[in-house]
Amino acid sequence: MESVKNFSAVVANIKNELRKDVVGQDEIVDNVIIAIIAGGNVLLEGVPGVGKTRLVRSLSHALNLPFSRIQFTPDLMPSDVTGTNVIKRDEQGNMTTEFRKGPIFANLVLADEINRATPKTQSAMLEVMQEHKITVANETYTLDEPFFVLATENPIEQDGTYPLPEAQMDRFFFKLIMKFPGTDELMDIVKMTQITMAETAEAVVDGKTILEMRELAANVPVIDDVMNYAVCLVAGTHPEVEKPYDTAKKYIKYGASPRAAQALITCAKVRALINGNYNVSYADIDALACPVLRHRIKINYSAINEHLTVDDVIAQLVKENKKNAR
Amino acid sequence: MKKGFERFKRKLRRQALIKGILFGLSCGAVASAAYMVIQKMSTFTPDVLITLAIGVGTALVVGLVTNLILWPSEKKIAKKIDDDLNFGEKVQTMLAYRDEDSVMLTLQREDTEERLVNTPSSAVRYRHQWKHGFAPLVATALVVMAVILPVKAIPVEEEPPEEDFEMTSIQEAELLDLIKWLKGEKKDETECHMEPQPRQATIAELEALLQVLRTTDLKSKEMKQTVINTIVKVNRIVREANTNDDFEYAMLDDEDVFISSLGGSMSLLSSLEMTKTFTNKRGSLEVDDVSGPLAELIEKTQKSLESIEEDIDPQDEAYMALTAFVEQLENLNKELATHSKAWAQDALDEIFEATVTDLEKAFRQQNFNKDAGDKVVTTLMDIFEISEDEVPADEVPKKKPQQSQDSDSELKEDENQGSQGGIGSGNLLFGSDDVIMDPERNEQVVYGEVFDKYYSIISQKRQDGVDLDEIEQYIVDYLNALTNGLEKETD
Repeated sequence: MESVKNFSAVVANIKNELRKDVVGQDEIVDNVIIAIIAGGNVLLEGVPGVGKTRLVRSLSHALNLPFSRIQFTPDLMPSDVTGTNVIKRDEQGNMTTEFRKGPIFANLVLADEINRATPKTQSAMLEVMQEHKITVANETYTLDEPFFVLATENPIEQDGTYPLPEAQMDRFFFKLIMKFPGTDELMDIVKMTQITMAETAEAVVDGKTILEMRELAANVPVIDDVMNYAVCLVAGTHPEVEKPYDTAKKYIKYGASPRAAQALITCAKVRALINGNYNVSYADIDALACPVLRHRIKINYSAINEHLTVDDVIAQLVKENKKNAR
Repeated sequence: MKKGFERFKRKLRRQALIKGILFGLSCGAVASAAYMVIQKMSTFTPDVLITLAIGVGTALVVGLVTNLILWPSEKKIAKKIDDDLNFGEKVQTMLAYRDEDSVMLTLQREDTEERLVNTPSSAVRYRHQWKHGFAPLVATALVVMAVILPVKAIPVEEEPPEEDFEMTSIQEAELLDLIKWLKGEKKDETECHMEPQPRQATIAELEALLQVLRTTDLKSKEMKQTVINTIVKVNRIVREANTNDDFEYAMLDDEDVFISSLGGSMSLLSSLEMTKTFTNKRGSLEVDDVSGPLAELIEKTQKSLESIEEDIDPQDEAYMALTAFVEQLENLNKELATHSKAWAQDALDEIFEATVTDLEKAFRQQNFNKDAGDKVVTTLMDIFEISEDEVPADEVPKKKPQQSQDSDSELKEDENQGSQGGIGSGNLLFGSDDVIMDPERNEQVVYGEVFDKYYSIISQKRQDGVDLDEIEQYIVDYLNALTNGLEKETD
């Protein structure tokens, strides 16, 4: 009971530590924490230099978890990510193989510019993200929990990239968009980094605590009406259903998968606890709608023609869902 | 359930109950008002008890239904609390999982209850409460309006402005013709055979009428009433002159067939019926020992005459005929013992024949009076365009009734032998077997009645010793008149 009551305090502590190294981006920080507690991965989109690597590194310090960064390039091989067996001569001079772990063997992994890697390397990465296991030469290696991947996409340099297929994108709980900081925030960043570039966040929790928090969050109750609300929102993204939402009919080419509904509820439970609530509410679902859905739905030319972004369409969906499902 | 939620639940349910009651009362008031308005607009005064019953009944039914439909369940109450207090579905979650236990659920319940306890109940209320006062206000206004509204008056049809009556020259001429006819000054029409006394009285009434119509300014309605009054007077004159009504009252309901039959023939003034009655009675006396039946006949006839002797003029011809009949029968009865049966039968024949002849004469005159009176009445109605509906029913000359059952069956038997009345042949038949147009009364009468009258007139003329040529001329004129009547019928 104490750990439940302290849930939000623990998260607040994590945030406080992260604020030492990351200026602004409160929504990004909140959602990353939610994702990590919920056991999901995050796809982060942002221009270079906005603090993506710093965020994950700072998070690893605050959570006291090993961190690794993988810079994806077109020539990166799957074994560069997962690790490989190398031949080694032992003391007796015999030739043996030894598995050399790749950078994926960490709790917190930054997969930078994942869209630059080849589909083969991407799928190897995504398989690890899904299974939390690696199989090399018939040998399976389990990754330590909690295992969290924050993958990034550079929205600027699209030449020579391999955009992640929608089926793969579905494996990320959230897609977060890290915007260029405002001038005040930029000023704070510059001032802060003039002193030191290193992250100064200190450990406030450990991996075990995160796992416990994950288990606690799973017990947060959700009433049927709220569950129905979340389910209707995800179903409402599909224009091909029997009674589609007007927004979906007009602006969406294809909708989100059932993983979206799972992600919504799982993350909503964490969010509720973080906010000191012991049940999931409609507000939790609404707040997580964009991060959960923006990478899972495809808008059509009508939306583009009307200069609507994915977030605009999702906002309309949320409005329509409020009217119909509550 | 913890007291925090219970507090809100009680409050919201109390408000819902009041809402339902107010709405029910409003509907009841509106129903009562509607009933009152409808009744008043239909020119009726609304019944107080019914008004109350409708109002109370409607209030009860609507209140009950409203409360059943709008009664807030715990789930609805929880939702309302969450929405009003922005609790983020806490109360709904608490309610949904109240029967389950776990660390998280316990925490959730405690947290929610603590928040509820610390929240004043005034923070949750049904919004726009003033709307619930709107219905009662409207209902009250409608009731007041309905009570104040006066009962609609029964529409009275405005009668068209009455026209002034001005006698036309034709009307005056026809009225003068009628008077002349009564006076016997019209040669080209059938003679008026009314008795002098009623005739003079009738002439006086008609002349008085003429005077009034000539000199007095009358509206149409007043004119008609004046004419109708004259009609009533003429009918009274005829009734007072005739005695057949007195005989009818005395005899018609008698148990004895002969007396009642005689009464019937008297009421109709039908010689035919009267003759039939006497013939039938005579037939019943053709027995060996006639004394008994004779005595009975004398007694019953005597009794009938005694019942009207105070009201009737002793010089009345019919009364005198029947009195003589009784006396003759009494004398005969005394002589029976000393004479033969054949002698008795012959005497009876003479007595009956004489009585029939006397009664025929009496009937004839009374028929003349009645026919003349009827003619005056129908002529007045024609001249001044008065319909039968405007005249009291018993003042309108009646058509003679159909013949009796026996007569009908006799007629039916005769039908097989060909047409019994009218002119023409085959399908081209004017008149009918039963009725013919009487030229004097200008109405259809039973054929036998015309025959009666015709026969009476001819018989009288013969008795009076009228010249045969004149009688012949009369017959021709009468037949012509009958033909005219037939032709009028075909028109």
